[in-house]
Amino acid sequence: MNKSNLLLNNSLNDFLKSKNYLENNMLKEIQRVRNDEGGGWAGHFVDSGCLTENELLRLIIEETGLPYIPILGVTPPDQLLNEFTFDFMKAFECFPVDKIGHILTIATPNPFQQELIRSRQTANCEIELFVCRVSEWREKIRLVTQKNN
Amino acid sequence: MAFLQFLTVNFYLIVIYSTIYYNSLNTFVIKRIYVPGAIMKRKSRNIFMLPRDIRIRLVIAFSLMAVIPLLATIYFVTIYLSNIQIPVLFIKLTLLASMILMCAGFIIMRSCIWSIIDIAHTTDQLIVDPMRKKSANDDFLRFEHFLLYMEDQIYAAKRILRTKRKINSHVRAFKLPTLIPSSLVKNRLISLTKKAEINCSQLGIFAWKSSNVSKDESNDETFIPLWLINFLKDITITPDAIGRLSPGYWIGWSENKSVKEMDEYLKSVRENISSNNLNNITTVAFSHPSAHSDLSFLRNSIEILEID
Repeated sequence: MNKSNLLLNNSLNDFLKSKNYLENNMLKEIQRVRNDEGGGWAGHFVDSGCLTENELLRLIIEETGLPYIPILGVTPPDQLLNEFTFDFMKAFECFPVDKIGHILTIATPNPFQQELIRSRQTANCEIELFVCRVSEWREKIRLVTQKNN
Repeated sequence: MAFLQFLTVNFYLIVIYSTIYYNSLNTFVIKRIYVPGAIMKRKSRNIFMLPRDIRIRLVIAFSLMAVIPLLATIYFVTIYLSNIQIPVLFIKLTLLASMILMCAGFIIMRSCIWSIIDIAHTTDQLIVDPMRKKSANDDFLRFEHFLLYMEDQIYAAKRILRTKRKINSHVRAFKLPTLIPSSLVKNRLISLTKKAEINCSQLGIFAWKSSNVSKDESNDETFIPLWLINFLKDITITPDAIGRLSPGYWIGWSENKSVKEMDEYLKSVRENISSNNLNNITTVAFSHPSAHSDLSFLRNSIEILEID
């Protein structure tokens, strides 16, 4: 299957269910918590303890072939960072890495997000995804928020 | 007969074009003879803040999707009632043209909605478009008002969502504290202790050490061992974050925790350890800076936290 089709046609919960990391009752509870608290799937799965961050990373890389990026070492340009609100980054579990020409590079612990790709992909903008760990992504968001405050 | 048809077709064409012109340019030339246009005008007052481009496209889409099919229907009903014979091919072609125009209307409507959702791109176009120079200032001001209005709407919508979340929030069974990457734990703890000292606030620090380290824990720095998960489930104070210093050695912290709370926590943990015969686990909890005002030892070697 084409990589972009794979990402657009799947969701993380379906993917983890297919890999037997998630049972129906566990998914139901995580879904309820997510509805209550908001946020992205990857963070909720890790917080619930159903799999570790490294396991999630390994599974995603094996399935999608997307490259891993150590996001803590990345400093995106301020102009690019201003294009994303923190609420958006938290809800879609993403972090902009760079924009060169018409290619926007985004790091995310959960690449199975149709909305993220569709919200930023236009005729003049192509999305390139990288995978990162949930803890690293959270720490990066915290550091950037701290810097901005 | 041909003349009658010619008149009818022309009449409808005039009505269609007048609808578009009337609503987009706000002319009053045909106000009296065209009622749908007047209705549209009233409705369009609600969208006065939209950029001119989008307003015009909305009206065109409305005309294509609603007015044209309606006029086509009226046209055929009139012909049917008047028993006028017209070629079937003409009917087919007219219907096909109506359908194509309806589809075009849908596409235009969709582009209008996306122009509003993708507002940053619309703003960019508004500034770049050289055709707008004539009425630029007026348009910019109106557009700015529109953005402010939308901002208010978005904040209001977010408030409503947050309120709904608060009402609907249930007690969560269990949530692991935020995991901090191992490489950052020490620096993070040092910065938090400094912050607590400067702000004169209390920082609760927890440390757990197990002498039995599993293979999974050694290999995976993000693997939280079961004994620690059980600890976290049982305790009354949940740390804000936890991190692994080395395999089997975990540290956590919680901001704004008093000395009394930390003492109570430690007491409950000791009871838990003795009741479950967990002799291989060492636990430390204290409040900084009240309990330990001097944390220079912490900065030099975090291992000293094993003191009890």
